[in-house]
Amino acid sequence: MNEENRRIIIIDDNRAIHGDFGKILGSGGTGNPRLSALEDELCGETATAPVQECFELRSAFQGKDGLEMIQTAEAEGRPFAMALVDVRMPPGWDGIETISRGWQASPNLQTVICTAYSDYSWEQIIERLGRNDRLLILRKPFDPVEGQQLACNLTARWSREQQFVGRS
Amino acid sequence: MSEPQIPSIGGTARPKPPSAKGGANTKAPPREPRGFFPFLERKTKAWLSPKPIRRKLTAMTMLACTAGLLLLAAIFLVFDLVSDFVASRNAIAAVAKVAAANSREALSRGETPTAIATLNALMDYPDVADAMIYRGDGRPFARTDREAKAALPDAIDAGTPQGAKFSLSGIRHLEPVMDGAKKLGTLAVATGFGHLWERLRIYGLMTALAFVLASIGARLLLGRLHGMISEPVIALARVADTVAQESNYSLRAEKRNPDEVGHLAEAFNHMLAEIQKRDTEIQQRDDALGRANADLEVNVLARTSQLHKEVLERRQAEDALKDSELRYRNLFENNPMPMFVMDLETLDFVAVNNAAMKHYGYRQEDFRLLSLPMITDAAEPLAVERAFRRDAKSFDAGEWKHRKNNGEVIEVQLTAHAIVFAGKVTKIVLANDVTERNRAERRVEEMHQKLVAASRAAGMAEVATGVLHNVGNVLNSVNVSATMLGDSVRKSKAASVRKVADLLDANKADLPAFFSKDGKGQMLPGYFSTLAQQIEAEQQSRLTEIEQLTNNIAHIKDIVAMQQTYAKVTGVMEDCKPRTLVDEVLRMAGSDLKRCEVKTELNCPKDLPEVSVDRHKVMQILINLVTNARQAMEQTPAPERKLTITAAYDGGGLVNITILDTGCGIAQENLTRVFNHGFTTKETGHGFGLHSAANAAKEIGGRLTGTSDGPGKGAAFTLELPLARPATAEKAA
Repeated sequence: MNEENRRIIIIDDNRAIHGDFGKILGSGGTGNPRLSALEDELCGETATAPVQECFELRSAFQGKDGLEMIQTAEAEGRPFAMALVDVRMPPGWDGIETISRGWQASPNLQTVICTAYSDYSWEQIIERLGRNDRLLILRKPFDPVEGQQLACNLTARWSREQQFVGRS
Repeated sequence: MSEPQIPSIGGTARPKPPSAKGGANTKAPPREPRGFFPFLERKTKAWLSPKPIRRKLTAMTMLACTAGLLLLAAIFLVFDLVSDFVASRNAIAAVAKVAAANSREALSRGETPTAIATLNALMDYPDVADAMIYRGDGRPFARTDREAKAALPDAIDAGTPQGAKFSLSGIRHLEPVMDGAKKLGTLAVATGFGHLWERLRIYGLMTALAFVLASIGARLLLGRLHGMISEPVIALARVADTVAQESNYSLRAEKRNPDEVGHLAEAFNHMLAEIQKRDTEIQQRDDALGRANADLEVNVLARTSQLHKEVLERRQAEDALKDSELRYRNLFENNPMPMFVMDLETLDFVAVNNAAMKHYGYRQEDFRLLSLPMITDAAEPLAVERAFRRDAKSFDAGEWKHRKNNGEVIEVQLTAHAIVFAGKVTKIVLANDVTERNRAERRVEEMHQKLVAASRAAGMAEVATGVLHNVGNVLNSVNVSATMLGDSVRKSKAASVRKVADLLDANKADLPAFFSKDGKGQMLPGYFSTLAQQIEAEQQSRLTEIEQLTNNIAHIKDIVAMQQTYAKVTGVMEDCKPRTLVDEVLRMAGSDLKRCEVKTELNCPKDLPEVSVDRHKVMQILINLVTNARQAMEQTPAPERKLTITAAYDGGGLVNITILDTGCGIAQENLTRVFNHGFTTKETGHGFGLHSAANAAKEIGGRLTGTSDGPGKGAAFTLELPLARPATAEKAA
């Protein structure tokens, strides 16, 4: 697998959060290529603006929907590399429940608990999910760069682990 | 063997009573034939009748043998005698003829000795008893000198016929002695029957011997054969005897031979079977009869006891009826609750019970002079009359203050019911002293208030939780928007304008030439056009971002405002339209409802009268109710989630706002508990919301009530709000 898997699922009952992640991780900030070309000719220099990394985002607003999407993706052979999960998602499952089930469907899923206020202490989360290295906690409000870097690292990590699993 | 007495069917054994015409009909007993044989027959029958069959058979056989034997002997005897007699006669005649011939010489010559010798020779013949020769004239000529056994007459008549002559003593044969044709004399020979008697004796002996032999033979034969006849009969008789003695009808006679006795045995067996069958039937009927009798007795006993019981019950009922008056009077007189009967016209006391006298401290005669309004401590004198005369059937007459004889004022809960007493329309009133209870309630209420205050502090934690979550989420968007805006400005193409300006500045010496000749100059118009588009797009994007930023900040402001309403204890009363309140609630909670796919229906006329409320409190209550309703419908299938908000004026100074959901409902026992502090049905609830909502409703002069048809049937909460009145508004202000 040469190409990195950049598929990310966002499970949050708050639509605004989906929008936020879309802005940070999605295909936003594209410059106008024609304008850049014209500028290059006029000024004789290359604009070296850092290209924003682009991820493939999918949205679910309830834990159950999210799990179904994870399962479907696994079945289709296009698994998600990463999941961003909110904790409070009434009326259905909470984030912890969703993550627990998600890992059953996709054991290598890199998961970020993304919450403004945690109903669970860290000890409780460990108690529910077990101690492991696939889980990170992102507190809202977060810095967009933080989100970008997380996505970048975790998707890459997923791919590396997948290769490792494939080799062994 | 004793003969069983068997009643005869025909009844001949029963002597018929003599009747008037009996003579004609009564059969005369058969005339007994006279004579020896009938006599013998009768005697034999009489002798044989009681004898056993075996003996009878033997006797009959012997009789038959004897008779046959005797008859045979007699026939032989007669035949023998006759033949012997004839032979003897012929022999005599022949001898006589010879002797006559031999004696002819002697007679003719008269030589007697010769004749006597001849006659003596005759005597040698057997049975010749006498011999004589007579002269022609009948005189005797010669007689044997042998001893004659039978005497011939000394002389005979000349005319005496010749030949044989029979007599009892024997045969006398006269033979003429002829000399040619001349009769010289007569020779007479007499014979006896001596040999005949001998022969008879022998016959008798032989017959006796034959009889004896025949008897022995017959006995022997009979011993073998009689069993054939008698034994089946005897066996049958024995069986019959046993049956008769033991009444055992299961016995059966053995059929030995296919003869009459065999048939008899069969018939007997058949009869026995029949008897047994009938006996069994009779037995069964007896049993059934016995059972029926037993049942009957049981039924009779049961019925008898039932009758006793009924009689007893009836008596008891009568007694009860007799007692009832007394008992009802007792029930009234001795009831531990104070009771009195009150004339509905005058409100005077018609009757009071002991408890009332004791409780109020008035005597019976005191009560006679009093009326209900007189002991009631009411601000309005006519209140009592109004309350008691209004509804004749009302039970709960409410709480009143009554003054006792000692001046103490008590709080009583009155229950009244209209009755006709002593011909008057009255009300029986039960007074329940609730002074102590109310006092306790007030204490509880005070405690409650303290608890509320304490819980409010605790409730802040819940509020803070929500605030943190909501603000955190919104802040995230704010943060992202701000970052995006910053990025957008940093990367803005507006900076490119500077570069182009520098380019133009470098060529300002000959701008027309630059635009017309220079390649770069020729590209500039297109570049500007594209740049303008880009900057416009950036502008648009930033505007959108700013708009969201503003919205989000407003959102945070709302959240903070919500927090303030919780934090606020008292607010400012203001008049507002119910519709405004409801609209505001839907604005605030609408997004949550939409997200949870809850349909909303609003039944709120715009022209409802204004209510006087603390707006923040009402919002707090209503949002709490809407949130509860939304959460109650989380388990309801999405198409059925429906929230109905209805506002209506009740005509009595209150506007009711009802929030009806189709959610999980409330169990009957929890309908009041939901308002208790700390009671919650939510997993993560604090039991704080409805409690503080109800308290808030009370603070603003309203009331919050809840109803539900039960689990799964939804719930409705109604907030009653007081109408706006100038006086109230001023007081609040």
